[in-house]
Amino acid sequence: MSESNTSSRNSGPPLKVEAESPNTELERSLGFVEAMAIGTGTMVGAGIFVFPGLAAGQAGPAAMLSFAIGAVIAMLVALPTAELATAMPESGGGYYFISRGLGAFLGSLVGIGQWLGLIFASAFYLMGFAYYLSDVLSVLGMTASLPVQAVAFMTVVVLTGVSITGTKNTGDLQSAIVGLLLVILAGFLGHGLLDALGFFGRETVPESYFPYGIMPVFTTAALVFTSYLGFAQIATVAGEIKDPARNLPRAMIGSVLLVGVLYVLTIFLSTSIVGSEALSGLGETAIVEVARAIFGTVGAAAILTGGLLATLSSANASILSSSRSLFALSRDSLVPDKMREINRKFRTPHIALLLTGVPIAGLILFGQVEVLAEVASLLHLVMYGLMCITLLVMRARQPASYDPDFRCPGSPVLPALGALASFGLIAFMQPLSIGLGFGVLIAAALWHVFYARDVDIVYE
Amino acid sequence: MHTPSSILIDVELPDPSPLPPALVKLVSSLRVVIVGWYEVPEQTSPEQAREQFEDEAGDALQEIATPFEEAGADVTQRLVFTGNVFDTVSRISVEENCDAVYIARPAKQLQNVLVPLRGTHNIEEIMAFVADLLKERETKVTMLHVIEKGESEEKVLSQIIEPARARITDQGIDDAMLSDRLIASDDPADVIIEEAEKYDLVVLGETEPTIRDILFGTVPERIATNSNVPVMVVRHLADEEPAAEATS
Repeated sequence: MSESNTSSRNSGPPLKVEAESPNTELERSLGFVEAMAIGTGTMVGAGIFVFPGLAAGQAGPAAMLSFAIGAVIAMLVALPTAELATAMPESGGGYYFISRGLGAFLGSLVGIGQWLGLIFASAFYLMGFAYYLSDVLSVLGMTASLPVQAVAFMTVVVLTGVSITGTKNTGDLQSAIVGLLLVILAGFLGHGLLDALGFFGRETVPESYFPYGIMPVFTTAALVFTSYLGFAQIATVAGEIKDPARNLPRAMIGSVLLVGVLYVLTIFLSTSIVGSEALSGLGETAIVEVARAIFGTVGAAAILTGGLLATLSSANASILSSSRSLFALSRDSLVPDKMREINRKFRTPHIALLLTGVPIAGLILFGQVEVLAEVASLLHLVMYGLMCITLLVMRARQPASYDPDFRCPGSPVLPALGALASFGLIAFMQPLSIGLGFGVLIAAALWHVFYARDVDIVYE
Repeated sequence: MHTPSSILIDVELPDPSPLPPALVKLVSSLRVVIVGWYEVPEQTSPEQAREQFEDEAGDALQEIATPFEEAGADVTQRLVFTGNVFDTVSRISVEENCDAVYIARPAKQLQNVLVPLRGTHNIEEIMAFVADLLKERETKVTMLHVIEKGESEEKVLSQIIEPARARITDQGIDDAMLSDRLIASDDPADVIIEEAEKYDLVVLGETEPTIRDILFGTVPERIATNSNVPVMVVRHLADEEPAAEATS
C-alpha cells in the first residue's frame, strides 16, 4: 500500500495514513478458481436463469445479439478494469480506482452508486430466486399461492441474518455451485444444440430473426446487461486475492468470455427449440421449459435446482460486495465511521450489512423485476464508463505509484470506446429506470455536498 | 555453526488458550515462530478487522510470546488477519522454514515422548528435530514402529530403529533415555492414537499421502484430530529445497 495514497479532511486532524503495519499481515485466501467463481457465479444467476424468456419476448431470436452486445461492452470495460485492479489491488473495486483517479466527488457518486447498484441487483436476483422457489413448490404439488414478493422478502431477511452472524466457506460452496452449473449447462447446451441443428430429427420453430426490428435488440441489451455485473465484483475483493497480478486479469476477462458464450448459446437454443413467443409467455423461469423440451422432467428438475442455487448465490455475493463498498467509502470518510464498525461477537460489519439488507427488502416490495435489473445496470454502467476514463487519466498523469502488472491493450481507443458504449447503453433503458438511476446519483451528489465536501483523496 | 531447529506454534487471537509452561521450557533452545491468527468470516475483509482489532490482537500475541522470550528462545512473532487459518499456518511454516508445527492439546508435563516412525524417507528430519528438542533434557523417548503385513521384525530393527537411535545418540543424548516398541497391526494410525494416550507428547513426520490417506485423512491429520496429547508434526521438506537453507 502506498503512503502517498491517502484521504484526509481539510478541517480537523488528518486521518490515519493507510500504511502497511510492519508486523501485521493480511491473508489473501482467494485463488484463481474462487475469483472466477465470484464473477461467473454472480453473472449466470441472471443471464441464464432469469432473462431468456424476458429477452426473447422483447427481441425474438435476435436477443442473442443483445447478449453479444452486452459481452462486448463488458469486455471493453473488463480490460481497463483489469489494469486498474493490478495497479491498485485494494478492496473497494470501482469506487477505489475512480476516487483515486478522478477525485472525491466522483468517488462518492460511484461508491454510493455501487452500494445501491448492488442492492438493486440483489433485489432482482432474489425476485428471480422467488420465481424459482414458487415453481419448485408448484411442481411438488404445494400450490400454496404465496406471492413471489413475499417469498423474496422472507429470503432477504434470512440471508441478511445469516450474513450478520458470519459465514465460512460459502466461497467453496460457490465454486461447487458454479462447477455444477457448468456441468448442467454443458450437457444441456451440447445436447440441445445438436437437437436444434436437426441432428435428432426435431422440427425447430421457424421464425424471423428480427420479428420486432432492430431497436428492441438494443433495449434488450440494456435490460439484460445485469447479466454481466459480476466481473467487477471480483475487483471489490481484490485485497483478498492471491497473486493479484496474475489472477485478477485472468478471472475478470475469463469470466466475461465464459458467460458471454454461454448466454449466446442459451438464447440460440431456447429460441430454436421453444420459440420466442412461447418463451416470452413463460416469463422468468422460461429456461426450465426449454430443459423440459429437451430432457423431460429430469432436465427441468436440474435447471430448477440450478436456478435456485444460482440466483441465491448471486444475491449472496452481491450483499457481500455491497457492504464492502460501504467499508471502502467509510475508510475514506465519505460516509460515517460507524458504517464500517465490526461486531465483536460475530466479527462482521453488522451495520453495513443491515444498510444493505433493509433497502433490498424495501425494493422487493416495489418488486418490478425489469426496473430493478435496469437500475442495477445503470448504476454499474456509470461506474464502468468512469473506470474507462480513470484509465485514460492515469495513463496521462503517470503517478509514481501507478505500476500495473497487466496493461490494457489498444489504449486510448479501446477504453474510450468502453466509456462511450457504457454511457450509450443507458439511453436504451425504460424512462422509469433512467429516472430512478439518476435519482440515486443526484442523492449521492447531495450527500457528498452536505456530508463530505471537505474530503480530499490524493493518489500520487 | 548449527542453527537450532525451529517450531511453529499458532494461537488464536484475541483470546488465546494459554500454553503450558512445560512447552515453553521444552522449546526454549529452539527458534520459535509464534503465529497469532485472527479469523474473520467472509463478510469481513481482513483489512477491516485489522483496523479495528490490531492493537488488542498485538498485545495478546505479545503476552503469549513473552514467556518464550524469557526462557531464552529465539522468538519470531507473526500476526495475521485471515479468512482461512489453514492457509495462513501452512504459508508461514514454509516462509519461516519451520522444521515442525505444534498442535496444541492441554498438557501438564512433557516428560515422555512418543516418536512413531513409518517408512524411511523422513526419519533423518524427524530425528534431527528430536535430537535438537531433547538435548540436555530429562525426557524419555520411545520410538514406535507399526509392523504392517509382510515386514519382518529384524528388518525393521536393523533398517529403521537402529539408524534412528544412532542418529540421536550421535547428538550426545543418553542411550538410556531411548527405548523402542514394535507393534503388529494393519492400521498404523489407530495404533498410534491408542499408544499416544500413554505419553505426554507425540512427534511425528508428515507422510506422503497414500490412497487410504486421501480417503481417511493422513496419519498425522488423524492423530492430531483424535488424540488428547499435543503433537509436533515434523515437516517433510521437498527434495528440491536446499537442505541447509539460510534462516533469516
